[in-house]
Amino acid sequence: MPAVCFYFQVHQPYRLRQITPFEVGTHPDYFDSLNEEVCRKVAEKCYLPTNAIFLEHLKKYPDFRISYSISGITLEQFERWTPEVLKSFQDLAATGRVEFLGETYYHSLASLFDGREFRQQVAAHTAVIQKYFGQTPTTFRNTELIYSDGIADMVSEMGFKAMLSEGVDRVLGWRSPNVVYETATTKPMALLLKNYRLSDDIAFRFSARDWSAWPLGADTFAHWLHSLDGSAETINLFMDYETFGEHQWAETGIFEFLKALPEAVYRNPQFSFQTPSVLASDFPRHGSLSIPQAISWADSERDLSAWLGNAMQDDAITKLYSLHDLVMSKNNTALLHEWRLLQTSDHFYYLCTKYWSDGDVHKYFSSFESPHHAYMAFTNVLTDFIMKLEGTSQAAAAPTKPHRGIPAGRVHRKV
Amino acid sequence: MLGWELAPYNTGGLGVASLGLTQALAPMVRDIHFFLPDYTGSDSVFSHMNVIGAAGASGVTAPSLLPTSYSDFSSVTHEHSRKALHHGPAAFSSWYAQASVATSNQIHGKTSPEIIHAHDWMTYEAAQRVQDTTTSTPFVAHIHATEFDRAGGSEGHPAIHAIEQAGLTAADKVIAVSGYTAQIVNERYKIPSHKIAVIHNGVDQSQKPLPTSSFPLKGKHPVVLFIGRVTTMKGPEHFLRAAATVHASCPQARFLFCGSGDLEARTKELAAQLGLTGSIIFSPFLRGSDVQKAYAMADVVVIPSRSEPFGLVAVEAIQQGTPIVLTKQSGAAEVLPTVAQADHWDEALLAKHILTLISEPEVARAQVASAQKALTYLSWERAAKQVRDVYDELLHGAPVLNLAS
Repeated sequence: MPAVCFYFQVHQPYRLRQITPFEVGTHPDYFDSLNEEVCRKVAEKCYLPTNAIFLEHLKKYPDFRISYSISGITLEQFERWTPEVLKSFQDLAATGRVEFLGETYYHSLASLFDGREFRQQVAAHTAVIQKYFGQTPTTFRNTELIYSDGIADMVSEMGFKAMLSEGVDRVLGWRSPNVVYETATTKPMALLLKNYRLSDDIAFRFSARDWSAWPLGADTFAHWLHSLDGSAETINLFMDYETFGEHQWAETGIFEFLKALPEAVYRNPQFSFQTPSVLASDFPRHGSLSIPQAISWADSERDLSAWLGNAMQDDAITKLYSLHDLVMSKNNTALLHEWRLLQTSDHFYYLCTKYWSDGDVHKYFSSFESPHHAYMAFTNVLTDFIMKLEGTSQAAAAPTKPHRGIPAGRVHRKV
Repeated sequence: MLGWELAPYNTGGLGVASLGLTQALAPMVRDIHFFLPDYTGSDSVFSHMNVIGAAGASGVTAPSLLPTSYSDFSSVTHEHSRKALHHGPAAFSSWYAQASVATSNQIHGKTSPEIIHAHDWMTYEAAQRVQDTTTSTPFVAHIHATEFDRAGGSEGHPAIHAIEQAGLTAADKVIAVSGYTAQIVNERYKIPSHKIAVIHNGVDQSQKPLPTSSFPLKGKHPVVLFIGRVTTMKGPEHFLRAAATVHASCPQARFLFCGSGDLEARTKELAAQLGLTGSIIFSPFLRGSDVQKAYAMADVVVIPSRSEPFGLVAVEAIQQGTPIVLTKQSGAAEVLPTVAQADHWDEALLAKHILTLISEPEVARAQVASAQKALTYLSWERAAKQVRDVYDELLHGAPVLNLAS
């Protein structure tokens, strides 16, 4: 009775702008007007058409299920610029067969740096999911599927029942990603691991003309899934939602693939589509898996090296988190929000200099010419932000444009 | 005159000096025909002379070598340098020589120029070839920067060095922009001292200091500025290491690092390694009024060059009223003997000077006052007269006094 478990990551960062030396101290807007442009473009190319396809599937197949994780700052952007996208996700939620996962509101790396911050950002995200979708997340997916026993401990303490991560070979060894495991935490949770080969066939290889399986049809892909019947209990297909129509353009046939997929999968009546929470409650667990060292779904290393490791990344993030006490002492919601917007993992991803491994992927996602340009944007903004905190900028403690949709009360509350 | 760049179409001090010198010199000579590798515009700022793009005028185009217009001048001049190096300095140099000869023939017809005055290595071969077409026109090699400077004191590019050596040797007179450069020309290129004239650059004396009150950083944080090309020659890493020392004892200090160049990436990584993130502001190459704004915003300007023929930044900062720390390996140190100086490798002393200037306003004010007094000597008119003297000496065997009046 193998299940196909789809989880899609929906995320758009607030990309930083290059502020000039003459703007430092004048509390300029840190964020690029590009953000609105990207949000609108991706809405049109990806979110709206893909949501429409999934809504059709949910109407047509009574036990079809999918799950999403949408970062809080992405929901903010939808509300500001593309409320129709928010509405279309709400329509999906209304079917009752779409699960929304928990994550940090700011898509941050707080789990690695500051437990207090991490818990508060998760609580803020839970609040916003409740607000928009009327659900309380019970499954957690940390930023970029970053996972370790220590992080899982914090997550289980917060009451989550399941957690997602990457099916990293060096962790799994002989074991299969295609069953449900249990976390090695005081309060055990279900642990679901991504089948990265099959996920990446869609997310990365779909349009690769030098790939032997190109062009990939829904029948072929369903056949690959069916061939796991007997060994797999769940096939976890985790990917960026932007795969559909944005990373893989409409011209590649990705939408036709998606439209045809459920029918092709259902041709083997043993197969079903499930959400993580169903897997967590109904599926057997195949032992506990201890993962002491942090893993993630990024780059071929599948570790933290996409965000941390070079001097620019390490100094930027250390300086940012060192401001914790000062930020808290200000008791200023807008400043706190701004500090947390600077924590979004993408800012550190853009600083990555691993050109030899996944440099082209980093470059694709970055709006900056180079990691060094991204560093310039970050240190200039951080210099201004510190001045704001220290009250040495022109209008002390005046925040940049406040953003709507912040559950302010929840951000402050200790969980 | 054979040039490479001309402000505002410039990436460095050469373009500024070429404009300042020609503006002051124009009334003292008959005509100036100023060659650039490529120029098709008609800017009014060049109305004192005839600016000619050799690529277009000669018909000796090298499309793979040169861009077609100066429409985006900052990237174009950068492109020049990049392409010149990519194709090899020798290839560029001989193309420019060929184009210049054709252009010169077009302008002068059967007559000859009276003086051939060439600015830096890119133009020396051109000057020699143009000289070959004349019977006895003297060739003046003006040296604004040597390959030793650009390479930060090492040998540098052998082909460029060879072109420099040939040009300086062939020249009838060498004008060095400082005693420091004259010494390099003498010691490293074996040019006899009597063939070298030291003529310090002028500075635009009309520059009025900007009010400093409008900058939000001012008065809240001491601001320490680096401004210049981010290359080995300019010593950006000395600035950053000194900055780290300053940061340690004065965490309120902010560092402003302005410039573009081949060490840009490395300097950003070094700044992060030194823990300066959040205390350092980066900016690409600034031009126009932004340069002066940067001086005005700063409490101290550091010129950490490993080898600096003159160093216009020092002068411009003093004009703005901002104190400076200067390396001894610089021509400006000759004309500003009272400013804070250190050897470029002595990052501890650089840091000490910076700390003194940001913490003791009296010292800073005194330094600026005495340096400003010294600057009155540095007019472009004085430089132009000295250049005119060199011409007269070449043409008549001795300077002709008061020729301009």
